[in-house]
Amino acid sequence: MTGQNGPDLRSGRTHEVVASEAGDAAARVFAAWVAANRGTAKRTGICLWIAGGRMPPLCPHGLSGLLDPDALIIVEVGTPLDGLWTAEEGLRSGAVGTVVLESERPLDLLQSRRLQLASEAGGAVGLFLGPDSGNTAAETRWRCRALPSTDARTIRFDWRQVKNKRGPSVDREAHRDEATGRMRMVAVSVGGAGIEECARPGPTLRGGGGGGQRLEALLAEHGGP
Amino acid sequence: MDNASKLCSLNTAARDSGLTCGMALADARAILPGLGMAAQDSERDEAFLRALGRWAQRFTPSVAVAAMAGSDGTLILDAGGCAHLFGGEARMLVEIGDGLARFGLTARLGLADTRGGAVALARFGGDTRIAPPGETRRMIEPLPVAALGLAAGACADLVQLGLRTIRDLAALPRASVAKRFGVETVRSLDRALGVEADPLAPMAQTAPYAVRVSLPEPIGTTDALAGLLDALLVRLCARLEREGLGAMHLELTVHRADGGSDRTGVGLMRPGRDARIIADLFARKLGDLDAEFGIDSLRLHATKVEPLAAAQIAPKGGTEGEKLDALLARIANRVGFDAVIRLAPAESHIPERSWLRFSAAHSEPGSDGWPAPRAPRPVTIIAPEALTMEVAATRRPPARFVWRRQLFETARVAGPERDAADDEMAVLYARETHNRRAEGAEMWLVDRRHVLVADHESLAVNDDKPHRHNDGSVVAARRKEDRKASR
Repeated sequence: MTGQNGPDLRSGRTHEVVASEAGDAAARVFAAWVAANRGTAKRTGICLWIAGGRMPPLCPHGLSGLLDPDALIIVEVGTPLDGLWTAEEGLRSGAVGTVVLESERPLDLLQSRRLQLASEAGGAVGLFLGPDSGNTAAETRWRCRALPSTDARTIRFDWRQVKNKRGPSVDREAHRDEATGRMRMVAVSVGGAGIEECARPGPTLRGGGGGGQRLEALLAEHGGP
Repeated sequence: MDNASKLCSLNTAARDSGLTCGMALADARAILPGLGMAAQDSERDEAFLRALGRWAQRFTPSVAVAAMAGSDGTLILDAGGCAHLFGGEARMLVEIGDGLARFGLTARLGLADTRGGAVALARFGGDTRIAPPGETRRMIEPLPVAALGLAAGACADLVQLGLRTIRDLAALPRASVAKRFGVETVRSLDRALGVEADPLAPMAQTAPYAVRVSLPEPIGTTDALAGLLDALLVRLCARLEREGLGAMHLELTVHRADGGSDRTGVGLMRPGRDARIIADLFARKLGDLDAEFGIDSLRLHATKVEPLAAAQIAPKGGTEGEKLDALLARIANRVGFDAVIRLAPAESHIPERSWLRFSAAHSEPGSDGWPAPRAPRPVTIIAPEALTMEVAATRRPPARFVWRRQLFETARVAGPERDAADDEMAVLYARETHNRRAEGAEMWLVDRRHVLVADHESLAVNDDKPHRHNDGSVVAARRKEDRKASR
């Protein structure tokens, strides 16, 4: 079974995947795996994939062994606002199992909160693929990248969880068989094995300080921009 | 036989100047140097005649469009049982003439017991346009034989023999007429005289699927508009259900108190007649309508309908499929129906051509499923981009290269992929493409010199195959040279 030991992404929540560039393939592979194995995908089977019209196209043959392209409905939106609107409608409807929103712009707190509420209402898994949005309402956040291959038939992925609202971050190494396209989880590390990459705990700010005060506190802690 | 431009239709002024149908354009210009003209467009002529036929359905339910010999179109109205509604046959003709005059059209009208008789009277009857019941024969007998709408040759033959009027022709023994002038001549005569049956093939009745409501007082709020729309939808959907149809596209036109109007439309994923779902789609668009001066009438028109069999109403909220259709319709009405897409496999080895896009509104997922790709395929396909080499690279493939301002080092080289091409364009297109592989850090590089347009000789071996394969020997030879040079 392909989903064994894979990342546990709660349904009814929206998660974020940091895409290093438009159409980042590693992030897309992660999203396709989630669409096929998590959330309510088993029930409705449909994955709504929303992307801006200028995104490099998603090649359905590349999803072979991962996600059935017949389960994909792609929505090409003209503006980021249309994308957010479509994602909200899709999450809220309960008619699709997964909603993937690919964007070149980061989410702000309000937008991510709205997506979160919509996925709670519809029970679907939401995935946002885009630039690191910083402080948002995301349930989890992932950084995905490809690792140098060790043999010719396997594609190695590093799935690093950089945020988890409910518990320790769990990183994974996933191998994709090049011939069949199937995914296999090979290594799991809990609590941030990549210590050097783990963010230090941020400053705790108390009191009704304004934005400027916050920034000053941050600068004091981290020593300038 | 001859390519000369000819006149096919004339107005009264041109006819009065001595031009005739079928005259060569050059001759006509010699007669009338200031002749204005337009190229004939018989499709538009026919469409116009059909539109006129739909208009004429207000006088009688059975209207037929008949193209007569000669280019002028003819509309046949079966006035049986309808004339009294307009105050008699004469009044009816006047009313039809007046109606056409309002469109700026000059029409020749005729009325008789038979179709042929009516046409003959219309075209050649002069002032007497109406043949009273049972008197068609008497009325058309003095008319020239051309009034029967015979072929031009047959008509000329008759006139040459001195048979100028229909009376002359009708007086002859039928057998000899048939022998000398063809059976068609006799049949035309018989039809005009009512001896032979001449049934009418009326146009289909195409009443638009539209409902309207006019208001005593103008309204302006979106809520009121939504309420009225609901009422209209219930009426329209009831009619669609009776006729076993579903709407694919609906248009709402509102007329404002200041005389202006505005319209908005919604589309559906599948033919539907659920008033609730359609109202939901409209709800997002009502606010955009310009209702500043108040709206005093609404018209809802199902502009596109398709057959939809009666189905059992699904329990609350609809089935999964219905929910999905409703969701996609909502999305498509905002972002456009072309932007909601399903994919289907295409038969091509070229990665960027290996799938097709369909609007989800008009397609179901294919039943065959997706074939396993011949070779691993990328998840993301980028448009062709050039790479820059760090230094003049002699090794092929290069040890390092720059792409999008990032330096890449070649770690592993997989064997060259010999791709099949659909045609020369595909070869060019695909081979110049630098595809980034699924892994995000693997690339598909193609040396520009290895781009080959297959020549005929290398294809000849595979001529009988649907996909032609390059045998790659030319590329292999070049690679060998490269290796030798770099050593």
